[in-house]
Amino acid sequence: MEFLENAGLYVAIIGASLAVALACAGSGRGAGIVGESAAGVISEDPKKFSSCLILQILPCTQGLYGLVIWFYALITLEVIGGSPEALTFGEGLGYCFACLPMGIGGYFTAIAQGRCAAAGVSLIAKRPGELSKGIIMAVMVEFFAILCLLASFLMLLFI
Amino acid sequence: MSIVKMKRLRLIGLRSEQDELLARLLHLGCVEVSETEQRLADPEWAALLSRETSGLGDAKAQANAMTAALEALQKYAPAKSGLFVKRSPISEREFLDPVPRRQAVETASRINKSVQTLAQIQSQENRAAAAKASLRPWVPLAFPLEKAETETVRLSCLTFPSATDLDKPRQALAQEAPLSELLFSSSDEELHYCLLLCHKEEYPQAMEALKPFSVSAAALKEFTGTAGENIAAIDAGLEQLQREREAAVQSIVELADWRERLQVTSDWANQELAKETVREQMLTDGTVVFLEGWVSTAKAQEGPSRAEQLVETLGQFTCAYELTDPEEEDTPPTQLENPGWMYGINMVTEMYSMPAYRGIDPNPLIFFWFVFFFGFMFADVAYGLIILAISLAVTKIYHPKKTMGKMFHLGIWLGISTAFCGFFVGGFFGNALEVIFENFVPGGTAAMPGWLTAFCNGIVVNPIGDPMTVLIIAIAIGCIHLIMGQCIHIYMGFRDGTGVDALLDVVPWWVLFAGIAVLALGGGWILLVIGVLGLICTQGRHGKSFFAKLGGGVKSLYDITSWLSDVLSYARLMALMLATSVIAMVFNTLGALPSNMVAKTILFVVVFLIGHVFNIAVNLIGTYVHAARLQYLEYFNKFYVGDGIPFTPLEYDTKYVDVIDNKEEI
Repeated sequence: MEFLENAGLYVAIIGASLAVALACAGSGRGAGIVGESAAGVISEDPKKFSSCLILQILPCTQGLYGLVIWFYALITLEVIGGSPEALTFGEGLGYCFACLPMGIGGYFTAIAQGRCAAAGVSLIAKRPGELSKGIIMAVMVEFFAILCLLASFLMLLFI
Repeated sequence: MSIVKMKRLRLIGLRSEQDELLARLLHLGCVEVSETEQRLADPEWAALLSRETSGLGDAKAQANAMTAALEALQKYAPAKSGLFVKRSPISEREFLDPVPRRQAVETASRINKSVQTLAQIQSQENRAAAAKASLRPWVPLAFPLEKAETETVRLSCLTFPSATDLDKPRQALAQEAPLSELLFSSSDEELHYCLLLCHKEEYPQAMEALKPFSVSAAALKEFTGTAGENIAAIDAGLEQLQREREAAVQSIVELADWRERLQVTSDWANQELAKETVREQMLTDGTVVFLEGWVSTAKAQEGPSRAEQLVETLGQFTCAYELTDPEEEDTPPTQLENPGWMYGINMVTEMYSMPAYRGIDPNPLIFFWFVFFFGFMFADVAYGLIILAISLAVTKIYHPKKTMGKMFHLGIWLGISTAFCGFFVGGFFGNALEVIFENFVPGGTAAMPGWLTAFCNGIVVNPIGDPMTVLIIAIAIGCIHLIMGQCIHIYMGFRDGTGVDALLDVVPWWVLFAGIAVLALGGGWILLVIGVLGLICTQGRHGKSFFAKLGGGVKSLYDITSWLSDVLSYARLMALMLATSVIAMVFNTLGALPSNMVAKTILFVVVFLIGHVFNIAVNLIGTYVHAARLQYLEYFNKFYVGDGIPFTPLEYDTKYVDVIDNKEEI
């Protein structure tokens, strides 16, 4: 019965976990995709390492946004601090769903951004001067991750 | 604040004065020489003139030699260099002085020669290393490698795959060729190395017996003496090569003092390259040369403009020229002329597309908006001051040119704007002030002075506390931005003689929006109906038949959706403002988590530093892109005509030095 009493809290924590886990999984895949392309380019011209690194960092931010939401959810639930308040199942579900935009959005945008940044890597392989354009195109994808971050954050704030 | 008017230059001069003419054009930097390919397509022109020959190949080789010498210096005697090249000023006379240049060219060729020697040494070392590797397995058997046979015995160096058990070939030999002996020398991961001693008459049988064991002969014929002796000789050779290498490197390092002179000469070589490229675009009959191009009439800060100086200069040459206004079918290149403080915004315009020559200069129209949008989205006093400080420092110390120069110049304004907007929304490293007071100051946030509390709560609005208000402000700003874009459309219409068209394009939409506003505020629907009818009557006016006109008008009503998406697009102003604050807030909270005061202080400092550097870095790119996007997509599509060709005159375009444009010097 104790489990059922705390079910709301657990469900909320599942949401927080999904936010960070999915976003980080996406970031990992995104960064991996860029890394694979980057290694090919660096094998030809090691001087392009720093440019490739910048492009590889871009899809990593979703993971961090996921961590932000996870962290903020745990603060809101007072899990961090050690005295979590009891939640009804419905309330817990609310927190859980509030975290989902970041998890799902972060996962897919990170992979898409990784692909875009990998294309940017091929761009700088041929035209090293066009790094800024490669970055800009990848950053356009990032915007949607920021929107997800905001949606999750505002829901956690006002729920 | 406009697009610079261009004049077309056509010039016929003496070929004997060509060098001097090119040097003066380079000095003035206001003439873009055009390609003359089209002229030669005309048989009459082709009969008289042909393309000028140039020393392009030599100039390229010269420029490459200087670059290679500088690269070698950087490799063997690296100079400390930061992210930016600090450019030193140099007078034009010094820049063009042939005496130090000759010495520099000589030095560069000495450096390049040493580099060549180093490459040769490297290949010799590689060969020696390969020979050593092939000899090493034979060291245990100290036999003279050149010895292939004695009176009765034949010697063969053989290898077997490492998986082979050597007893088996030995057994096979004992059966098939008893007058033979297989001596084991050594093994590595891939092969066993053995010496076969065999009576000459039994040699064929011995090899036949060994065949099933994948035996192969090792080629060592080029060596004389034992493997050990050869290796010792190679080692001695390698030591000698090492000494030669050190000597070659030393000879490069000794020339490190020449770096600056080489840099100047490298810049000079690139100017020569540019001159030769222009020379190739000239036409000649052997006595005279013909060139045509565009002359910028941009005003000088003081004194006569470059174009006026050009006229004066051409007067000193034996030449005939004409300067005419561009004709209707010409597409002159675009050069923008803006006040110095607006210089940085060129970066935003150039990233999109230069305006067409007959379009409008967008810089003054987007400068305020771009800087404001950036500040609105970043909105943090501390972040703004950091951006401002970095931009100012880089601009003052390194005087960066081109894109870098524009970027940091613009950065000054972006920093000011960010701090300004941050002041009204209470951002200082996010909510760092509140967190610091709460955790580190006795009395907590209650101890904050009143003015600080007022600042932290947001003088106009606090984005985290009241995001709805921020959204409304963002949309309102967006509407003003869009309306301004339409006003420019009307202005351009009147400028180009299509004022009525421009008014009809825009005004019915304003009536419609006013109608929607009136309806939303509880008023009547008459204005809305007038707006809709206005659109139906006017937007299809270019159609040929009555039904085409009506159809076009009705179809235009669908554009309401595109207007809606344009307006909603400004919600990103609110989104990014919140993103900056939220991420900053989370880092501040994270740093203040521990309850132990010492741990809290240490963690706070660490997280604060890393977190805020991250936040600035990520949001800097994002905010820049989105501030630019709002200009490119929402604003420019109301009035902008792009696809202009940037004006690229023959001018000093240097990497390491700034050539001071000092007239007395020449």
